[in-house]
Amino acid sequence: MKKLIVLGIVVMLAIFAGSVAYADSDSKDVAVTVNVQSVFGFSVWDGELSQEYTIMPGENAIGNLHITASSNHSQLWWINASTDGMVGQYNGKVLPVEISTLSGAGVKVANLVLTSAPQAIYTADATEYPKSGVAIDTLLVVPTTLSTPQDVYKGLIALTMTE
Amino acid sequence: MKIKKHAGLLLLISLFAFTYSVSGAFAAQELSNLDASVGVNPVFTITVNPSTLNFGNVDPGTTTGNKDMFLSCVTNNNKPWSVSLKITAELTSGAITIPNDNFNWWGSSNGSGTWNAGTGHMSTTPFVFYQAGGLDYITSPNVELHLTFNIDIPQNQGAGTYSTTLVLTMTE
Repeated sequence: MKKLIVLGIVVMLAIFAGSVAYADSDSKDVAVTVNVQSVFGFSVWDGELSQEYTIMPGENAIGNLHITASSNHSQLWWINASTDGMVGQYNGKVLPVEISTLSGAGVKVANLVLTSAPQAIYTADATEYPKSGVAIDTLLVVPTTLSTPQDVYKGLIALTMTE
Repeated sequence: MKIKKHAGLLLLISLFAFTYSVSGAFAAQELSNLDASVGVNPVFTITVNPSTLNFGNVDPGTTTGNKDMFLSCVTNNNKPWSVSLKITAELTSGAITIPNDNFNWWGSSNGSGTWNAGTGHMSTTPFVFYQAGGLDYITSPNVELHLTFNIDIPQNQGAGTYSTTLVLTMTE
């Protein structure tokens, strides 16, 4: 009787194993790749800055620089600025340029006097890399005093985005 | 007299030849039955063309071009079957990934079965997108499935080469 039971179990197992083996399957693997291009750069909209306008001695010339920066690199980036100042076209006198960063989640500056040596005016927050279209608004101030000579003052501000 | 003798001899020979040929026609016969058999092997395969999907170089914030893939399913098992797809992991470059919801697929078939469009987004869980119909149980001709893929690259997606493996499985 024991032998019969064992035989029965063996037969059952054989039938079960047979039915499993009969279920068929075929599979293919396909390699998928996509290369996301590098983006790193900024654009500047200078608002009133490139316009010539008149102020009275003792007033401050005020302008805005609007910077839009994008990077899809996973690295810290920052923007440096430098200038040789606003130079009087006839008297050669140099007026300073102060800059304040107003927007962006990163490290900003307030009333930083620009020099000929590049200085960071904005350092990206970790949430801004990778990120497209980081808006960095700045305020530029060229202060004058009552003794500032009459003249046309012009200057260049150099901006660099670095990582 | 001589002619008569010859004619008699000729007749005798002819009679002998006829008797011999008739006796040959009634020769004993032996019949034998032979068992003939042939085993038809089971066939159950899926082939994929092309064998890789390369979407090339793409700018962030854009959608890749469409990539077509053709699957050929063959079976003579006369049983219901289906085809599923999945990816082994999200598209990955280093520590950065592209979400599965951005990896799109759609398609069609020439079979008699049911096409299931699902969400149209890729998943790491197998999704049965084609359930064979009765006419597909023995495929003749092969059931052809046409899949198309593209990827929406997010605006802030990090630069790099992203890769994964797409798995297509035919099961009965």
